Amino acid sequence: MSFISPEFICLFIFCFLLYHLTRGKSRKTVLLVTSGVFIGYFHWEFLLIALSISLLTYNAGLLLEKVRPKNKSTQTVYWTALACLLLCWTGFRHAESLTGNASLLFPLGLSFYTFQAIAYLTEVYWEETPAERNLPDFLLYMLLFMKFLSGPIERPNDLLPQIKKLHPASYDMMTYGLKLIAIGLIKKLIIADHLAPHIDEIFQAVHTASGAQLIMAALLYPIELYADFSGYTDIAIGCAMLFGLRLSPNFERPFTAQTITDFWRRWHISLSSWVRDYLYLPLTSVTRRLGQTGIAISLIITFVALGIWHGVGWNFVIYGLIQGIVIVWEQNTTSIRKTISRRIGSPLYGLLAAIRTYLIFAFSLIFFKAKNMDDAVYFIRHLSFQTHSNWKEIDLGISDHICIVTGIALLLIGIYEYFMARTDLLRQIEKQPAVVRWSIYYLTAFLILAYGQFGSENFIYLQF
Amino acid sequence: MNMLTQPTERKTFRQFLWKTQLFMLPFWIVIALYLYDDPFMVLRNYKIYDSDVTLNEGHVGWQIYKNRRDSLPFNSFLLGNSCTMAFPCQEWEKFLPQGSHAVRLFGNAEGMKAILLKLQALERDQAPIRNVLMILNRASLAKTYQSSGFSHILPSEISGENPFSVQLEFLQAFILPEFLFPYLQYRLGGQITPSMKYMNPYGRVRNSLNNDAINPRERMIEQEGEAYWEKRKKEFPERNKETVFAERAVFLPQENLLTEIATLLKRHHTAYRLLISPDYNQKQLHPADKATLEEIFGRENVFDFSGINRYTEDYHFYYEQGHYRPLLGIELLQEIYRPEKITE
Repeated sequence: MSFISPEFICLFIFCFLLYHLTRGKSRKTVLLVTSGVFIGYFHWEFLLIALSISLLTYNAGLLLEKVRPKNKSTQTVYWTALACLLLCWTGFRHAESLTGNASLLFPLGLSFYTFQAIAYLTEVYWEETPAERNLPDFLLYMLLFMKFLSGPIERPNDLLPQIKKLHPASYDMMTYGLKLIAIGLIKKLIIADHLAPHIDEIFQAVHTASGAQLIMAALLYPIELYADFSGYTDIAIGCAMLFGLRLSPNFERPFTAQTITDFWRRWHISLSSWVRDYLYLPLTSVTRRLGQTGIAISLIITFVALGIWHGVGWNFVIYGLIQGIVIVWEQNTTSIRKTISRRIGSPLYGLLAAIRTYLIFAFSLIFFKAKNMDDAVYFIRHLSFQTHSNWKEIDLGISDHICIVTGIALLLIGIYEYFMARTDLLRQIEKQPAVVRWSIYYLTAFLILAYGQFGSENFIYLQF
Repeated sequence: MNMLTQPTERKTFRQFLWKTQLFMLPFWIVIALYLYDDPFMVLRNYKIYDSDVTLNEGHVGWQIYKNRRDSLPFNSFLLGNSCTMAFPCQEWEKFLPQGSHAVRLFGNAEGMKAILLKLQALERDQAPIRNVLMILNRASLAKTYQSSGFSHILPSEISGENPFSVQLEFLQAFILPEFLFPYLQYRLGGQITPSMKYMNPYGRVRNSLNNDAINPRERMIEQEGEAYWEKRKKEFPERNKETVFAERAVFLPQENLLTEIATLLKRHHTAYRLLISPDYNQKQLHPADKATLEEIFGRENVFDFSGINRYTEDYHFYYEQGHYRPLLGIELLQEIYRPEKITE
């Protein structure tokens, strides 16, 4: 059940009404049952796997606390639980290639809730958080339907206290949530889904596309990916707000980043910060003796792991490797960048640096999006300004009407994000007179209903 | 504390529900009107597909096929773009074996993908695919994707898409101001004016038994005679009498689709013909494209009438540059079903 499917809308409305009409513990039951239905609707096995992993993590957390005072080795418990989680994730990720059975499905959301489980166990192991004793609370932390499919990856200290004190959302929070959902729908339905079929077609048949079409597809794909994933995140955060829950932000205007280092602080923040805290920092403590080389090695290992998390294949390794190498290079060339910035002026430098960052990311995404390594290499080798027949083909088959609609939506989202960096635009709208406010709401609703591409229910990050 | 907060919570919730419903009210009204009127004739089944609204040809064609599927099964399918209007099913049936029943399953600006999907849907429906006539031009050959939007989207039974998503396309089209406002004007006044986009001012434009076109321009030609073309000289520019080849349209993706179509037709032992429309502008299909078509479908089944020839010379055969008359269509049928052509 996707966020933009009629089934989800019905389930969500039902859950929302029930949640606000019940009191106390019943609210948890409502959310837990809804999450179970949401996951089990895809496949009952997915629910079973998610429940098993949650129970394993819950019991491992309790065991960690139990053995600690008795001075028994908590390390054994921690590493065993971690190994189980990683083995489970690796097993499902590679099941198809290991068994050759194409019908084996990768359980939806597995990567995300496994990461949450690892975060929880590590926090308990580091004694940063106490083990959760209330099973329903812990299950909700793991399975909450708004963030189950593609995150945000929540830390126990952020989400568990909210779950413990579930309360209905305030009026402001509910309306703010609705506005975020609307922004998410614009990103997803008007930008991402209008671009997706055309970009997919090029990546599916790279050998038949012209050089100019390949360039165009490579340049547009980061926009599609951002609109798709940040659209999903906005909808998830907005939905959670309708229940009085605050999920972590996942994007912070990534395309304004002047370096890839900065980019990863703004892109998929819950994953990149997870990787930083639970992989990169422990790695640097191991490689500390090697100085700068140790940091470089840790960075590269971290980003390669990040690449592999996205999928099986050398193309994902290269995708991660590019990020790692560029960040290492950037760390060693800070002074050069500062000099250039001083010479040409910071506004121009900022613009050029943002373009450079975008291009590097777009280039690395060729490996991310291509079907396999051969296709990625072919794609890169044939990037050129050559066309098959004429320049019109760089529209990738997108009609003029859709180009205009998507272009305007992209511009509106750009303006929205520009202002959001300075002030909370959504709160500013609330301060406007009712006529202005409602006109904006109607215009937004009209934009989505009239120009949204409702054909697809998939989000790109569902596959991870 | 609990006693104090609960009434406040309820009040907040009620306020939120009230405001959202108030906000949604205009949308509910529009949706109710849509459900009641079914302007695109896609929510319910109809025996006669006449409407004052421009309908989705893919849906209408498929419904007409389904309406007669059980009583008088169709076994001959006229596929392709809007130029299929020049090939009345009754005329085509004259060239087919006895007992053949033809239906026109066309689409405006139809591409190869849609043709393949329709044939696959017929196959799934276990229709006897005895005869197929495909009316194409360069644009249809080049187009490998299925267009979206209410006038092009295919029924879910053909495309395999989620039926809800398909229906949503029509609802979306209904709420677009360029449709909704003229439609409301028409609904209140009962009149269609030429400025009303997506409305059909011509009355009956199809035969609901086999989806044959009833072109209002034919009536105009009958009434106006030679004056029809005299008055529309701008629509019929002079041709420069030099052979001009169109750019290539068939590359690997197109070839793959064409091969899939040919494989399906061969699997059903279908008697098929592929006709490239006589283009008023006399641009000839690229020889490489023609060669590919002949290789895939067999030389004897591909008929290219583009370029300079006796059919494209006479402007009396055309309604406008893009569409030609059944007068020409019948001549082309005679040409492609000539006994010597068949034995060649």
